[in-house]
Amino acid sequence: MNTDEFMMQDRQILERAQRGDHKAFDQLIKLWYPKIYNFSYKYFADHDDACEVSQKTFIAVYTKLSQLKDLDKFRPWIYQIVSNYCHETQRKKRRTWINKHFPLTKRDPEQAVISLDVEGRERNLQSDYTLFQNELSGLLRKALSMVCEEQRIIVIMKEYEGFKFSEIAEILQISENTAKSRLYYGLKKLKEIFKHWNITQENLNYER
Amino acid sequence: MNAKPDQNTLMAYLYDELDATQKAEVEAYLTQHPELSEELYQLEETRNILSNLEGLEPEIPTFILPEKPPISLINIPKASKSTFLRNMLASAAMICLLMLLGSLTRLHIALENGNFSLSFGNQNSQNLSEDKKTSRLIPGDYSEDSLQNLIKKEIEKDKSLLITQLEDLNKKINALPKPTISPQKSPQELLNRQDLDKLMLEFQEENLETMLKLLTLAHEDQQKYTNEILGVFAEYLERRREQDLQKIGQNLNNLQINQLKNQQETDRIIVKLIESVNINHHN
Repeated sequence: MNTDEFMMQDRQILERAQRGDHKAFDQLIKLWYPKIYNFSYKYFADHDDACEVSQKTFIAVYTKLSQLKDLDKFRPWIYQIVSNYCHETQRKKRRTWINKHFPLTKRDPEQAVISLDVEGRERNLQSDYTLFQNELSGLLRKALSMVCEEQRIIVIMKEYEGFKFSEIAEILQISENTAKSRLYYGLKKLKEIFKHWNITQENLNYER
Repeated sequence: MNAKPDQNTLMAYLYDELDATQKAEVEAYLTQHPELSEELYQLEETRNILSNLEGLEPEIPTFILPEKPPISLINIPKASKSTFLRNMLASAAMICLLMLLGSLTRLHIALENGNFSLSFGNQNSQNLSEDKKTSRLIPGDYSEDSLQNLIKKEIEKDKSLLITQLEDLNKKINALPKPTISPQKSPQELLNRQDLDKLMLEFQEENLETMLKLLTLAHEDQQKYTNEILGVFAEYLERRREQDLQKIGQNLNNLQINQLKNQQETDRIIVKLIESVNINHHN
């Protein structure tokens, strides 16, 4: 199936979902939930928050899909929704005094795998490479969470979702230059963090 | 390109979002300025490191969707008029409710002589209170004569009240039963020398008797106590003797057993010796 066919199929699903077809909406969820979840998981570095934001996003999609006139703009539209929810959740978290001073230890799906691996290395079917990859992913997520919110969201959108600067500007309702500037400072901050943690591409290649 | 490319141009170059001419200009600048090239290289490396973060495959939760499309999906015309009407109705209802409450509680609001009064309940009671108010001083009646008259009247009232109260108290006191006090003898009559001697003797006798009684009682108690102690001590001695005898008997038995053992041992040794002597003798 080439890209055009895939796009066509996506569009058909969207059209049916817009008309209130539940099966089509289920297909839409299957297609988009992993993307939205991963986006929010990179943003929060927290499984529960990512799940909460993803679910809110799809509820909003279900209720507001009929208002979307141009279905070609579904992708930036859904990312706009998820970005807004990410921002809202982050703001609520900042307001909650108890979270700030007594952070609850939350479930991390990869961390669970790592702890299993430590307990029974021989029994675990995971390879060393997977273990290393999980640990690295955890570190990268932590590094991302250390970048300020405004810069982080642009880094994620650009690096992992492949949006153009114009699209990012449209989604976040900022100017292109602001998006570029925020990304520049975000990358610089990440560079400093990696330098501090002694993470270089050379080291990573050696570890592999 | 002579001018240094700004952050935005660098970012666009890094993500390949520049047109061909701009790109060529930046590249030309970079060849001349290795420090900027190094900076870009580091940013590129940061990007490479970031690319190691892979996506996860999450469990897709089940969304329970309503059978009918939600209300927001149905195109409802924006009812600005209906909201206005609703607001008007709400305010009218509120006014009605307030009026009803006012009538139920018989609310009375008045603004008289520059005074604001707010009261609940019957109007008659209000009139009564007003009557009372009139008996009191009203602003404007502060002439000296009227004040003096009022003060005098009040003082007279207080006086008459106090007098009546005092009379009542006196009557009550008089009505109380008076205590009967017997005529006392003179001290000279009481303290006669002979009587004193007699009293002293009586006291002494009484003291002696009580002392004797106490002594006899103490002696009896002591005897009892000593008897008890002696009995307990005798029992203890008896027990001790029995225990000692038992121990002695056991020791004697042990001695006998040991003696027997020793005797048997010596007998065996003697037999062995005799046998060995006999053997030697035969040899």
